[in-house]
This record gives sequence, structure tokens and C-alpha cells, in this order.
Amino acid sequence: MVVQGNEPVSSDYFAEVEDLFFDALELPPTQRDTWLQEKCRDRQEIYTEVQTLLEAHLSSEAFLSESPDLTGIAACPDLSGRRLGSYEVVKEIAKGGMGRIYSADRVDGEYQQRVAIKVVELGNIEAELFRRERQTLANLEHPNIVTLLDGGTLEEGFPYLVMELVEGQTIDRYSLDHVLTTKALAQLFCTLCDAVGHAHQQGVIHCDLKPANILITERGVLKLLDFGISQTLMKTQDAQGDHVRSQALTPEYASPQRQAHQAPHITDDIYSLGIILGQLLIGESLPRVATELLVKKRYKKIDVEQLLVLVPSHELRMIIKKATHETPASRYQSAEQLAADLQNWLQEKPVEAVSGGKHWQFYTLYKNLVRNRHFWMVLLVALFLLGGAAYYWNQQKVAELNANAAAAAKRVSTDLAGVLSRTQPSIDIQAELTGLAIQNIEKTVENAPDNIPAIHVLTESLLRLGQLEGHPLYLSKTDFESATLYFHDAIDRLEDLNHVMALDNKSVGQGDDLLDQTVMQLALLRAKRMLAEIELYEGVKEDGLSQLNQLEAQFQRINFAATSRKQTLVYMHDLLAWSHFNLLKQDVVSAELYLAQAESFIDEVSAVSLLPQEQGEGKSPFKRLKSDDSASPEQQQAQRAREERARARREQQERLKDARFLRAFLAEQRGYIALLNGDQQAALRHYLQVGESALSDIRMTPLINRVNTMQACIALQQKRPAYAEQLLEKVYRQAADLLDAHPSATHYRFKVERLGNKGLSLVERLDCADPRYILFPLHHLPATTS
Amino acid sequence: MDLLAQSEHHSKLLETLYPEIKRLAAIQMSRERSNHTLCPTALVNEAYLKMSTEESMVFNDKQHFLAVCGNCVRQILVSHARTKNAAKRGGGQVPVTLIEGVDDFQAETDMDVLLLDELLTRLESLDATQVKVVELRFFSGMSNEEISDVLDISLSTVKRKWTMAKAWLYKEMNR
Repeated sequence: MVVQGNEPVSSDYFAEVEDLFFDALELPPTQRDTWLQEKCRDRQEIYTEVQTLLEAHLSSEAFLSESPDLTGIAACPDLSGRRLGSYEVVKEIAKGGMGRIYSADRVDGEYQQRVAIKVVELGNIEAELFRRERQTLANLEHPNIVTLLDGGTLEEGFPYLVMELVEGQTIDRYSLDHVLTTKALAQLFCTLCDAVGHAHQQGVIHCDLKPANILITERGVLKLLDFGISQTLMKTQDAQGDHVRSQALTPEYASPQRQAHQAPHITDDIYSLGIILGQLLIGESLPRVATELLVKKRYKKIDVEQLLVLVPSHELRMIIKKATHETPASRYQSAEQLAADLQNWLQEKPVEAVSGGKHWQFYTLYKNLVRNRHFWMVLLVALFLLGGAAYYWNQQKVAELNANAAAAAKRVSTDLAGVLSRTQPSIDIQAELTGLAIQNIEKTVENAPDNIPAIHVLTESLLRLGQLEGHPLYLSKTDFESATLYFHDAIDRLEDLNHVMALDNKSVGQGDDLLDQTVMQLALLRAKRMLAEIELYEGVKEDGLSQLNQLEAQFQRINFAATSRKQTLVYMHDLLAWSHFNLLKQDVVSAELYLAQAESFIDEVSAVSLLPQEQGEGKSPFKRLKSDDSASPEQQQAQRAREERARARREQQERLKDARFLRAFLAEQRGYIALLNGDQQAALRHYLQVGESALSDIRMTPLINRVNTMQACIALQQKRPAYAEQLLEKVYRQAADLLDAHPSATHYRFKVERLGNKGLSLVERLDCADPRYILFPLHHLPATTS
Repeated sequence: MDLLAQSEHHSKLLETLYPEIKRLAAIQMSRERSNHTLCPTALVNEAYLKMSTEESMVFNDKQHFLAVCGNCVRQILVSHARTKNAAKRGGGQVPVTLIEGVDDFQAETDMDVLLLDELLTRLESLDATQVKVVELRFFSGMSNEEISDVLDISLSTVKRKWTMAKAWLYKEMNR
């Protein structure tokens, strides 16, 4: 029998070859040949066969290892040069969603026109249905939707569409090349929404909205391509009961409902619009992000959250979030609504996606403040000028100058504090305005370098700004580096002031404004404490601890004698901060000493009798400024006196708020001590005193949340999980609202995420295992580090 | 199902499957970037999803369907290679390569579809199982485990048949 060539070989013989081949393979390579020769003695042909197979085996490692590429079989006929009806195809210009696009010229002599021809690669049945639907598409007349001119069927059976030829860039490229501002982009996007909305009104859903389908011509006109084609395809496929519809779907932009092949709906287009908006807003960073987020996620839902993180504006983030909501009912219900909300944003009106009803009033206030931001800046500058003008008018009267500088500084700072406290804008805005106020006060101080009260006001503002920028114990922008700079600035200035005050043992001012050595020392220690607290919670813990221990010893050496209500309040703050620190160290005895001392001041600071409200108060400060111009000197003077009284009244209100916070903070710490002593009932009694807060206050809300969390933990221990869960929901809701209002408070985000993490147990979400994680801003170590 | 009915069923299935796979391939290719390679695995799965829901189709189960698929892809590739060769006749015959994803792909991994088909037809008379394994593994992109399921043979047999077929085909191709 011959093995070589095409002569038939029996399968028995082949089976023997196979056995010998595998037996030989069992042996070490060096022994194979000898063994095989032995086995095939006198049968040269089978020896050769097996021997060549063994050789082939050694070199066939990569052979057939990759499945064949079927690209070739999918090749479509090239239509270039072919005549289709009144048109002659020029060349292929693109490969698109469901087919190829060619450019073509009208050649029937009627008139010259260059068009685009889209060949839709479909099976016969689908093609027939598709042809019937074309009429609907022809009816879609809109300046921003590509016009359908004609249609037909190739001899190969594929239907084609003749459309207006649009030469331009896809919207994503366009926005990158033209470096559109966010506002210009939003404006452009509104045009897109109009076009989509128009089609929706005609009952046509796009179903495949993506940047590739949105072109901008050289003249800057937006043109939407492929309208209705996908929907028609889906309909035709639905008609067939076909479950494979992925060909008409771009996963990155398709809503979860589309991906689940549910019937197309307007909200599917809204979802795609949301993703596109997000993508456009990310802009420059898109190529990098694109591979990560968009391309690799084929056949998966795009991670909207990840996309959102990159969107620069909170409100736009909320708009995208609403458009891409998991549940269609929670999305915008029309493209017009989406456009309207973008217009809100453009005009700095309240954005519906943000307000959503809940904290409407609060949000509207915030928006008003932002919209009027330039007004506030004007006001602050004006206030500064009042102080500055005094300088030039009274150059000879140095004493007066100093008084004016101090008054100007104080006015700027207290006015700002009042505005911020009433409107509670986001911490970003608060920091921005505080920074602006500091600049103004700094200029005042430059003109009056020896003015101790003005400098003192400046340091207070610096500390406030430091807290807003980044302090672990406050809701902040979590920028600890900037915060450190501001605290250092304050410390330097306070050290100078302390030096000056110690030299001649003097004191300045009286009442609330009294500044003496004790006040200055306390202020310096306060600034240093804040810096050390950053070190403790965010830096090297041991360093922070030793710094705080030293500062505490210095603090204890100071003899505080209450001189004014304001000083007492500030001192109470210090006392509670030190007891808080001692609780962290588990030194309950020391903590209780501080608390008792703080408690002794409570009645005093709470008993503030409010000055009666004056007529005309509450009007906008803008009006008051204006009236200055036209009023007589007497009227102006009376006006100013009224303003001063109003200011004093607002200051007292602020102090009442302060006192309320201090009482709550005290109760919180008392509650914790009771828990450490194992007395849950006493703890609950303390926590009850904290009460509720009506407004999402950046100090009170976190505190109330901590207390509610503690109560939830106690409820869990008392086997009342339902109540604990109820409390948790409340805490989560409030925390999420607060985060919505202050999106840059990133360290608070972790807390909110943990609270909302349904994958964790109640105990884990609440952090009940170690209540220190509730009371103190301690970080959870990542699971991977020991 | 007796053998005759099975083979009738087989050819009927193949008849329906053939245009469908071509069409799905065309649709899939038009969706992808031009330099994308089209792998049979996704195509075959898509074809299965589509056809399993059509009432006119009767086949036992996914296994049976997939068994036919490998054969189907092989036939599609062969017929495509024939057309392509016919088109190129006169301009010097160029063998159609199966693996052409990258231009400068090593010459030794390129191969002639028509020759492979011829060799498989010869191998069929020697050991039909080996051909089935090649069709499923190479043309359908299935794993050894899946093949073991489809052909109802042990995993070790699948590996053995694959090794043998590969060596034999390689030997014959490089003769």
C-alpha cells in the first residue's frame, strides 16, 4: 500500500498510523526513531508516514491555531461607476451603520446635484418592509435633518436611499477642532435637541444617535443623519420576530432598554443624547477616555458614573444624569425638556435636573447668588472702597484711618458671613467669595499695616477659608494643601500680632471687639490646632498627635475670663474641639472636664435677646447702595445707622446659630461618652437634644447625620433593625442632598457611597463596628493593605 | 433520529444556514472598522440566536446546530476563494489566504483554502472524526470542551484527533 499521493488509503491503515504516532509521542524524542524503526521493520511506507507526521507535529504548533478571518466573504459589491436611477455613483465615501455610503451625481440632465447614496444591507423580507417605511422618513422636513431625496433597490436586492450630501465634521471632532466653550457647546446641543424633538413629534425615533450621525457643515449648520433608519430596521425585524437586532445598535450610546431589545421609545433617544452631551463636554480628554469608556465597553452598558466624574460642571452633570437615568420614566420626557434645562443652565436659572423639587428653595437661592455673583463682587469692592476712600480723605487723621480700616474689614467679613449663612451656597462659591473678601481686607490692611483689629479680622477670614478649602472636621473642598497655606498665613500674622500685644501688654477695642493678649493667644493656638488637625487626620498621625498634645498644654495654661459673648462662643468652640480630641485619644476624664467647662457657658451664650427688626430691613443691599446717591446727607446718615443696626442684628442671629451648633456638638460628645460607659439610654437622651435641622447647613447636617447614625447603631444593638434602616435611609438621603449641594466635598462622598452601598450589611454601612469612624473623620484602610 | 433523517436534516440546515451566515458576516463587517478581522465564533453564535427563534427551523439542540456550522463556514470560504480566484484569473493566480488580518503576516501561517479543503476531503475517508474536529475547532472557533459535547466523544479523544489531524494536514500541505 502506498501512502504518498492521492491513492486511497484504508482507514484501518490510517488508524494504525495514528496509534504508532501517539505511542511514539509518549517516548522521549531521542528514542522515537529507534523505536519506530523497530516497530516498522520491513514496512518502509508506514515508517515514513509516521516519521514525517512526527516531524510535522513538531513544527505544526501554530498551524491552524487561529480561526480563519471571514472578512473576505463579507465583501460588498463596489457600486462605483454604476448608474442607479437618475444618479451615477462616484465613489464610496463611508462605511456606516448598516451599509455603505457613496457619493453620486444626478445625471438625468434635469439639474446638477451631488448626493449621497446609502446602501442598506438587509435581507429580502426586511428590505421590503424597509421600502414601505421610507415614506415616513421622506416626510421629515427640518433644516437640521438630512433630506431624503429618493430611494430604490440594487439588482443585488439591497435597498438604497438617496440623500442630501452633507460635507462636514462629526460633532465631536468639530467641537475639539473649534475649541468650543461649554456654553457654545450647550447652545449647539440645543439645536440638536430641536431636530430630534421635531422628529419625535412626527413619531420617528432615531434609535441610533451618536456623534458619527451628527455632522456640522463648514457653515456651522448641524445636520442629523440616518433619522428613522434604525427605527425602521427595528420595526421590520420586530415584524419578523427576530431577536438579533444588534446590527442597528451602537452599544456605547444605546439605552439599557434598547440593549435589552425593548420596543424603541423617545426616552431611548434622550439617553443617547445624554451620553453624547457627556462625551462632548469631556472634550479634550475624550480620546484617552474613549478607549477606556466607550470602545472597550462594547456590548456593555457605558459606565455613566465614570463619564460623569469627568464632566466639569455639577449642573451639567445632573442634566446628563437625568437624561441617562436607568429608568426611562425618570429621564427627560422629551428632547425639548432636555433643551429647556440646558437653556436654564445657559441663563443661570435653576436647573430642573438639580432642583428636582426637593431642595428647590435652597437651590434657587444658590442659583440667585451665582447669577448675582458679579453683583456681590461689586458690593464687596464697594464696601472696600468706602474704607479706602476714608484713607484719602483723612490722611492726616491716622487714628480715624485705623478705625475706618478695622470697620471696613469687619464689615466686609460680617456681611459676607451673613450672606453665606443665609444662602448656603456650595462650598466652592463660599471659598471663592471668602477669597475675594480676603483680598479686599488685605488691601485695607496694606493701607493700615498697624491696624490690629483689621489684621485680626483678616486672620479670622483666612481660617474660615482654610476650613472651606480643606479641613477634615468640616465639610470642605478637601484641598488640604491650599488649606495648609491659608492656615500658615493666618499663623504668621497672628504670631506678629501676639508679639506686638506682648510688647506693651495692650488691648484694643471693647465689648465684642475687645482684643487683648488672651484673645490673641487663643486665636494663634486655634490656627495652630487646625493645622495640626490636618496633620492628625490627613498627614502623619503621630506628628499630629504630638503637635496637638503640645498645643493642648499651652491652651490649658491660658486663663480665660469671659469678656464678651463673642469671645465666649469662640472659646467654647475651642473647648469642644479639645474634648473631641481627647475622646479620640479615649481620655474620657479630660474630655469631660472640657465639656463641663463648655457647659458652664451655655446659658450665657444662648440668652441673646434679638434686637427688634427694623422697617425696610431685608431689602436687597443693592437698593440701599443706590439710595446713597440720591439721598440727602441726613437721610444717608440715618440710612447708614439703620444699616449698622441691621448688621448688628444679623451678627446676633449668627451667634444664635453658633450657640445652637455648640449645644448640639456638646450633646453629641456627651452621648458618645455615655455609650463608652455602656449607658445606651443616656446616650439616646443626649442625642435627642440635638434635634432636627430644617436647612441643609454645612455644619449641622453632618452633625445630625452622625447622631442619627449613632442612634441607628444603638437600634441595631437593641434588635430593632427596621428602625435602624429607617434612620439609615434618612441619613443617606440628607447626606446625598448635602453632597449634591456641595459636590466638591469629595471626602464626604466616600461616606455617602458607603451609606448607600447596598452590598454591605447595615452594620458596615453605618460603621457601627467602631463608632469612632462615625464621630471622627477617620479613614477606612483599603482592604488590601494591612 | 435515524441516520438518513439526520443527514437530510443536516443538509436542510446547511441550506438555510449558508446564506444566513454570509448575510450576518456582511452586516457585521459593515459595522466594523475596515481593518477589523471577522472571527467565525461571534458569527456562528449570532446565527444560532437568530435561527433558533425561527419557527421553520427544526434542529435538535445547539450542539447539532454548531456541528453544522463549522462545515458551513468551510463551504462559504471555499466558494469565496473559488470566485476570487476566478476573478483574478489572467492577472496571475494568487492563492487566497485564510489568515490575512495583517499585511505582513508570516508567509508560513498563510495557507491555501482550496488546498486545505481538498486535504480535508481526503482525510474524511481516512478518519471522519478528525475532519469534524477540524471543522468545529478551526472553522467554528469552538473549544475542545464544546467539541467534546457536540460530537459526544471524550475530551482526550478530541485532543488526540486534533493533534493528529493538524500533523497530517501540515505534512500534506508542506509536501
